[in-house]
Amino acid sequence: MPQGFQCIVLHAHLPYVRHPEYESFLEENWLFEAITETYLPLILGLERLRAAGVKDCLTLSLSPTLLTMLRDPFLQQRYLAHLDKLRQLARQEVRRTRGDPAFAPLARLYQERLEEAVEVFEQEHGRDLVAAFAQLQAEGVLELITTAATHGFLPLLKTEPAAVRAQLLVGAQTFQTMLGFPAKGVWLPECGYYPGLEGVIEEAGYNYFFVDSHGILNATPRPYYGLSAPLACPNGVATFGRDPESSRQVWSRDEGYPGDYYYRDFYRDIGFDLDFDYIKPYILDGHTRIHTGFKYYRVTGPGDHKLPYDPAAAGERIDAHASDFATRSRRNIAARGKRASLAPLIVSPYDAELFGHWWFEGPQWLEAVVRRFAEQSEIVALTTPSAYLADNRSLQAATPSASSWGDGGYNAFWLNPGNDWIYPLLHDAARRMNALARQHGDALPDSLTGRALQQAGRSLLLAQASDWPFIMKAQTAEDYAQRRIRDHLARFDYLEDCVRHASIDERRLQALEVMDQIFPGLDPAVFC
Amino acid sequence: MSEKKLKFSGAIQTGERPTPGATATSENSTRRNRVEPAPVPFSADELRRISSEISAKGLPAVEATRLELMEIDPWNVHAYWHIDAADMAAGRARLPENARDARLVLRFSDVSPRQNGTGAYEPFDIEVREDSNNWYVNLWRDAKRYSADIGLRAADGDFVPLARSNEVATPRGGPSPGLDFLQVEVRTPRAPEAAPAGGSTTPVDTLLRELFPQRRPPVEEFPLVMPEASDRPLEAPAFPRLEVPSEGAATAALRAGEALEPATVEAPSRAEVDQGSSGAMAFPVLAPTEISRYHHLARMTKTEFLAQASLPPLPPVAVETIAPADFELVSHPLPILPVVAAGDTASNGRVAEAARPSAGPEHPPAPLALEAILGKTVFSPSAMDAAVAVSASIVIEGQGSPDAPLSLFGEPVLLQPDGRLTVRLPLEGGPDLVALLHHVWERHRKE
Repeated sequence: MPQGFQCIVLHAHLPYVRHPEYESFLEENWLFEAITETYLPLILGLERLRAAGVKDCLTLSLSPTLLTMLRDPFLQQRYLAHLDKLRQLARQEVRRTRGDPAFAPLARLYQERLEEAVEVFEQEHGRDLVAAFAQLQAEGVLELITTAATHGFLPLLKTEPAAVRAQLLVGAQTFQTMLGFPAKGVWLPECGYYPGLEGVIEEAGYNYFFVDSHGILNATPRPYYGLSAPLACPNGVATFGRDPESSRQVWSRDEGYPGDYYYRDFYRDIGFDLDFDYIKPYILDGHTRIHTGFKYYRVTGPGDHKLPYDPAAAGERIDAHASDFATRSRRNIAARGKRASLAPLIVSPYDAELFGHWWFEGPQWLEAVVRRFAEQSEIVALTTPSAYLADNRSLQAATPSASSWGDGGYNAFWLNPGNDWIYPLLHDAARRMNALARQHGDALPDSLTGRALQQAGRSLLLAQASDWPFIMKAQTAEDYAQRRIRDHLARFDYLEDCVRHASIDERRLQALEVMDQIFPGLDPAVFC
Repeated sequence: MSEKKLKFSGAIQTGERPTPGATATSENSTRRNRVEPAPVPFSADELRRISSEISAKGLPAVEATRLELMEIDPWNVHAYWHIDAADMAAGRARLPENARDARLVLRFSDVSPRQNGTGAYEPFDIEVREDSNNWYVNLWRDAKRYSADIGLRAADGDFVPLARSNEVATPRGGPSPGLDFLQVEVRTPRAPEAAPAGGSTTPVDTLLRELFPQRRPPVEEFPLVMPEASDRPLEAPAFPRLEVPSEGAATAALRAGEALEPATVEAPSRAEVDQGSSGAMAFPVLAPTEISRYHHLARMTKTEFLAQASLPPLPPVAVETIAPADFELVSHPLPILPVVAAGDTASNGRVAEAARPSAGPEHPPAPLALEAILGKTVFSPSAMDAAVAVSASIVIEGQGSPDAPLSLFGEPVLLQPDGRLTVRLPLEGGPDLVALLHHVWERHRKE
């Protein structure tokens, strides 16, 4: 029996970004970059761990929108085209940097990674990364879970309970359809929880969910074991709390590992550094400089001065930081264990895209961390929520406090003067969808009315994504986020009008089905 | 919530589409043989045109009179509303002629469950601009339920409601006062029959003592968190410094800054505390009954402790004061932390040490001051007893942001309204690192 348990959770999510109405679209790169930099390295690392006999080392949440995009032949094709373009750039870079002792090895490194990406994506996994993850779960390496349909921020949708229910039920059904088995747990979008939500979580078939630290710390009644053990909501659904220290070790800009001076710098990219004419074929529409993924510098320090990236030096830091994480976890568990009779559990969740995309060395670090724990599993053992609950069926009954893992810990990042205008529209659309589904619930799924009803539901779900208010607040791609909400609400409005007036232009309906090609089996009854 | 069963189709993969080009509008004509469509059965231009045409209509207007509240955090809610022009006119018409300049207000009601039969809370008004359609409202108290009316309020107080809101529940901003411990079986897919709603209703305070004997005593006896308000300055000690006459033989020497290890406290009948430069102190031999009184003392709240400590019959105890402990914020690159023994300096995180030598002028208070006071209460048994009983704890005091959760060993720390905290932490054997975590929210952004 180990002294305690460590549960590492990655939440992989991207908003649904698919634009067949354009020959190319910048925001689709979010998916392409994440595949190359995060999902493929993650799969490769997990496959190595599988070969080493590691079990239950990770819990991975795959959002329904991400699952849909990973399984979409249209996006798979575009991803390969994206890779082809980058491979051209890699060849060019290898030529350009030849003879440069600092940059030539890096250009070759990127070239090798891109060639490997094609090989793994197309040859080894037949473009189906969802199947690759499913195989890893089947072999006991990890546990797959999912989240709400389009990652709607549930605490701000709950004025219309049917909207919350649709988000969770459609998410659960999409996962089951894609993977062939139900997810046992759910990652609440942005850890957004409010008391009462556990009822819908149970209805969707989940056994557990996660909340941020204060969701547990401020639970009612007070948690006897604090963050060292999950709680059980009164209906028997378990809830796990995020450990703040291990989260900060990775997340924090100031104190976290990714800011180490020897790690690769995210912001210095040849898309911005090189001559315009040289980089022009590889940037947006030949006009707008963008990140290419070719980054030659390390963090170096707080200023603008940057030194060349040295993978070997970074590798030493990866080892050191992996050991540090494992050491801290063991010490934390030992300290907690002295004050509680149970073997403490530490839950450390992160956004998956941090690993590889933002933090280049992240996947290697993660693999090294797993190996550190595996080497001394008799002290602290890695586990998954389901494995933990299988051995700990009886938990303290308590209701978590409303909370999120966003800035401030509650709802402010998704509700503020920069994005509050969306909620009257989202709530109104949810009410209208509820009424529409009730009035036309008998429409055959294949009929025009049934299809329009389904498509209205898709439009509503897509408008509800938490990504849009998040981006508006973060002011990163604000125009795009606003446009997405406006487009989806306008499409919903149009389709509702079509259904109400029994006047459906099939060509237009088809066009909307092609552009928003998600949740094909959507049952409008879920909105009732 | 609907009880309807969902009727999802089976495999959905990429979706099936009707044959491109069909324009039928009757319901029956749409039921046709399906073929796997081309990935994009439309030209990009056509899709773009259709999308633009649909979006050109603009956002739908919200037409019905309505008021909605949404929780932002424990102390703030957001209200948005729409008042139909006819409803507004009708509302004004209900006011007397001399009150037609009535102002638009949000009238909030605290609808939290009443305790001890207390009556309804007095509603309060927030005046809002008539040309606005939303408002951010600070409600001062966490863990409350509110509803609101929006309406017109005349100067004489007459109020004409126009719409009533939903009910909201602001989150709890700190640990719950509830200390019940009930257990419940968790749901599992393999054994759904073992997933009851509810759970045991047997209070388990006594059960916990049996189940978890090595854990600290139950909270009501030895509160981890002492919530009572204190006007005492942070730099003043929480416990009185008792002057203890030095006498008798020394046995187990405990140095300031040293965590209490069972192995360091040996059997002889007296214990001594080396209090830094102030010299050695020893303690009188106590009868077993007196020892139990000290144990009782150690389990009381601070207020009770202070009251009892001033009573003359009790022989003095040793209190070691160590302040202030340092905090250190770490910059890159991160070192690998060694195992930190008490008295060492932690090199990462906001870490308060369990024990540290007394601070002199060369140890100025850290920017985020936290006073750690080590209270070592050493009991000396009678000759009949074979071992020395040692009870030790530290009291951590400090101040943080009132709205940022704090945790100590992963457990909640209750903050007073001004952010002050007072935590008593029983010490266990061996080196200890007390990590008082001030929660922050930082995320890398997706772009």
